[in-house]
Amino acid sequence: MGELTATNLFESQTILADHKDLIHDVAYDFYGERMATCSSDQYVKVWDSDGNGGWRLTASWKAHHGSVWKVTWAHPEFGQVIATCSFDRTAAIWEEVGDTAASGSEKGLRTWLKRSNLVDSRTSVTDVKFGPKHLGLLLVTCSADGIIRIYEAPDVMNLAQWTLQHEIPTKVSISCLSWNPSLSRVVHPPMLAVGSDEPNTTNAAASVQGDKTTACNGKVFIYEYSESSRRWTRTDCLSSVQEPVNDIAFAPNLGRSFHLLAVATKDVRIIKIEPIAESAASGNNGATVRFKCEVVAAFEEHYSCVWRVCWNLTGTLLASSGDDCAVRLWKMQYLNQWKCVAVFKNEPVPGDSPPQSRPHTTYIRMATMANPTHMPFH
Amino acid sequence: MNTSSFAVDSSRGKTVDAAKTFVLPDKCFQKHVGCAWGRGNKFTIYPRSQTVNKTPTDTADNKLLNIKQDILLFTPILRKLVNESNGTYLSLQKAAEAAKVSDNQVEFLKLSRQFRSIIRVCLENLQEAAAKAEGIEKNNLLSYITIFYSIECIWHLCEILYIDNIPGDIVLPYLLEWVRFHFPCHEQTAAQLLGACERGSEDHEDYWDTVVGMVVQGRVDVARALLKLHSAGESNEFKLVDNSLRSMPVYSVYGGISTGEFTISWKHWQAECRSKLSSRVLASQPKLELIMKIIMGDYSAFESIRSKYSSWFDILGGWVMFTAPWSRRHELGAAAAACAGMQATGRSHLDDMVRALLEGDLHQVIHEIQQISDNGWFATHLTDILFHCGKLTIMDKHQTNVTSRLRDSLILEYGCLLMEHKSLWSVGLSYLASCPPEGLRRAELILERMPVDTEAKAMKIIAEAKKYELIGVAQSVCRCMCARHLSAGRAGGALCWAMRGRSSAASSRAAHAALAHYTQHAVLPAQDLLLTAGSAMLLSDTLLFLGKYCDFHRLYKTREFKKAAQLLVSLITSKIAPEYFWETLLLDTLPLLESDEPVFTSNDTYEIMLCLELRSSSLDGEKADLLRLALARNLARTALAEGDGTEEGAQ
Repeated sequence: MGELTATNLFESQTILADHKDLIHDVAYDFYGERMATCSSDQYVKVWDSDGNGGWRLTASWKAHHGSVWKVTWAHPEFGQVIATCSFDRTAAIWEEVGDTAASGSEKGLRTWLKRSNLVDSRTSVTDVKFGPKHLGLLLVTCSADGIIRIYEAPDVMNLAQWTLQHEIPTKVSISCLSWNPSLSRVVHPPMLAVGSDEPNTTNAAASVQGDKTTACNGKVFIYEYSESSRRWTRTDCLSSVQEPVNDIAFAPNLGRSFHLLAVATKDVRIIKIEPIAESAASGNNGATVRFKCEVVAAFEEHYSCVWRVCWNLTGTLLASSGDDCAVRLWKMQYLNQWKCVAVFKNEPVPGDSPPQSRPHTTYIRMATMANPTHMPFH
Repeated sequence: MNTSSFAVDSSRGKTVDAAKTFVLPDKCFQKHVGCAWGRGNKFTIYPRSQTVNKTPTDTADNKLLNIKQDILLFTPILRKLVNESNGTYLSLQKAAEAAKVSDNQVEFLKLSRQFRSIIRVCLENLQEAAAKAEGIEKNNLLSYITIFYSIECIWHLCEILYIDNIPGDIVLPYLLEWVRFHFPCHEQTAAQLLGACERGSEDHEDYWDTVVGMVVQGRVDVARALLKLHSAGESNEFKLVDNSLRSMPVYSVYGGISTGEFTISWKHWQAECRSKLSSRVLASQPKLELIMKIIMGDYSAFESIRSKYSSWFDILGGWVMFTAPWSRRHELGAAAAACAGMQATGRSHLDDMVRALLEGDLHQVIHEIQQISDNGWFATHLTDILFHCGKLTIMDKHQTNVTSRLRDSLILEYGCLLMEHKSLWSVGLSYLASCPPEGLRRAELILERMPVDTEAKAMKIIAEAKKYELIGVAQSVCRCMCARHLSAGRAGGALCWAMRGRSSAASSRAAHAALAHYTQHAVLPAQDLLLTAGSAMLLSDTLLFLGKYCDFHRLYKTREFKKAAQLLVSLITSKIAPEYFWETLLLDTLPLLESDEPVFTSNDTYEIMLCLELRSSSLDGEKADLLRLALARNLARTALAEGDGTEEGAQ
């Protein structure tokens, strides 16, 4: 029956990135019409969709003096702005200048100007993310020495000026972070999740436990901003994640009362974080429990370290990639169970080499669904 | 992606949905890979390594792979289907709303037929196109035809079993109609033979197959007419069979007899047939014997003809007719099992769907139809109509009713899918909007991210957003348009969008840009807009200042110098002008100071002088001196004139 069932047809397209070294991150802009790539070759490249499914390189420049780890786009309300972070201990803000609306074919390469260089970190800056736009123009960085820094551009017209608003030491190496995209400021205060890739040595565990308020072996921490104290505080530590974390991503909220956080660690995890009502929040010893956390899914299918987790726009599909060289798509069913719906894999046998890349390769044929004799008669 | 939305272990345990594995075309990913989602169903896979200190030299690891789902519904020829079914879907939602207060089954049936006729029209178009097409194109069209043909077939059966209002639930006439309509075997031969009306038609190679076919399809009259065309049609054997066929009792709800009475006469008739058969009078005519066996509902007879048909659906009608003509519509499971069991090999997907349908296992049916590669069109619309008809009840393992959740999830999926299309997105939006609250939240996310390539598209998005009261989206689109105009240096356009979006931050940004533009090019953008903006001017201080300044220009141009001067002084003294604009503002006083009639009072002049001294840094020396001179002269003139005035007043 398997082969008679219709399958989806996927189309793939290969782009020669032409980075001289490994690509570390690929980020789409708000509309999914532009794509930025960054690499160990210290370059950042920007690609524009040509409207027919093709991608055209429109900018390429040396952005840092070290491997560029991550690239991220600001909301288009603030213009065409990207931020990058690097092994060279800096994060940078870039703005595209010139007429971005003109269909760029006649323009050739576009110019991106470095508007600001954030040099506060003393170690490699491992991740950078713009905040949700309703909070203004915010940027958060994290670094290998475990300091989270939150910057703000008070005047969005002036991207050269960024003030360091908060500096949060975590005492563990931080590899990734994610903003909670929830729009409702009333219900959910600004929230960040950070993941640590600190290896599990006794030493590290001790140092974490040294932090008395949050004695916890977890690798994922939740920080929330308190309007009253004007501070970011660690409000939770997910004890369910004990292995080093490579990537972390909040799902779009869709008006739910809880948050979904995907974590790439030794497996793919989806964690439900449900805020507990204030009245019920105070536990023993005066310590408050802010959330009820529940691992709703843990998938071991990669059989190896998972590198990336990424939600689709509506948070209905999660893509994960791992050391097994496969990308898996996970989907939530209507009964709130998660299930793998597709796996994308390399050819396992190196012997029979598939045809060389063509611009468009349709490689999954659709099986006919029913007996061909069931065709209409007239 | 609608690969499958089910995770329920089915009763037959045959649907273990293993995730489909797709092999990537290039061998570009040897080590680790990363992935990033684009919009909709597009995502990128890229090679990746996190090893910090190693510098791999393998530059072959350098290809990005964009993966996107190919969506059948986006084929141009299917556009009509998508659009028209949307109309019917929306009518159905209205009908369902009305059905809450009164029974609306007739309306539902009408809409179900409407859906089917949409599919039929679509099939006709596909057939037309397939006749013209060639090669791969033709193959594709033919596979679409197969898909939509099966959809129509199942929908029809579903309509009979669940949506139609059948008197007494006696399903046989409807079932026969369904079989005849979708599996019109031998029909043409029969028509041909009857048309020719020649004796000795048995010479036609398909003669007997056709007669048996007609019997199996329940067309007893046609079968009898065909038998008369046999050269031995007048013989006793033929008359005997003809008699049996003629005298077969036909059950009808309106026949005025109860099922019990009917059963008696039916049994009697069968016994008669049996005695005829056992008398061996038909021994010389094996075909006639076969017919007699068939009408007596003999299993082995049916089994023997099964191989002549491509599927068991063909004989289903006959089987029900000759074994249990009083079957109600939910009693067809056994008949389906019997017919399907006649030939165990080669089960198709359509088989499974029809089986499940006849057994009344709608859950299984929906599960199966989700496997059809129509991107969920069928599953969504069928589930929706069954849900509204109240015929669908799906329980989870805790016996809670999750039917509406299933329906919602299908509609949401389908709506989101359509929103990815560059012109079908508003159709998708209507599906999402019919599924609040989550539908609207999803719509918000997607709508905001619709690529805006033209102003018209932006206006369209805003109009749609306002239609569904997604004000936040409308404003966000305006702000993004504003930012885009700003970065392109079009302050006028930016102002226009900022004011349309009623955004104070954006309008202040745009106003700054307009003022800055004026300081460089001495042209105020969007003057007409600013002079007619009304209350929108209050969005921000800068915008207000810009508006007033624009008004000053208007007064100056119409030579109302006194009013212009007053306005200018109020602008100077209110001190809301941005820093970079002071130079312009102060220099604007120059021509007014030099006018023939003094237009500034001495007090005004003092104020300007004060501002000039406070902000001497904003003017360079020569210009400042020039201004000072003009101010001094004006002060002298006005002081003299005012002095006269006061003296006169004093006297």
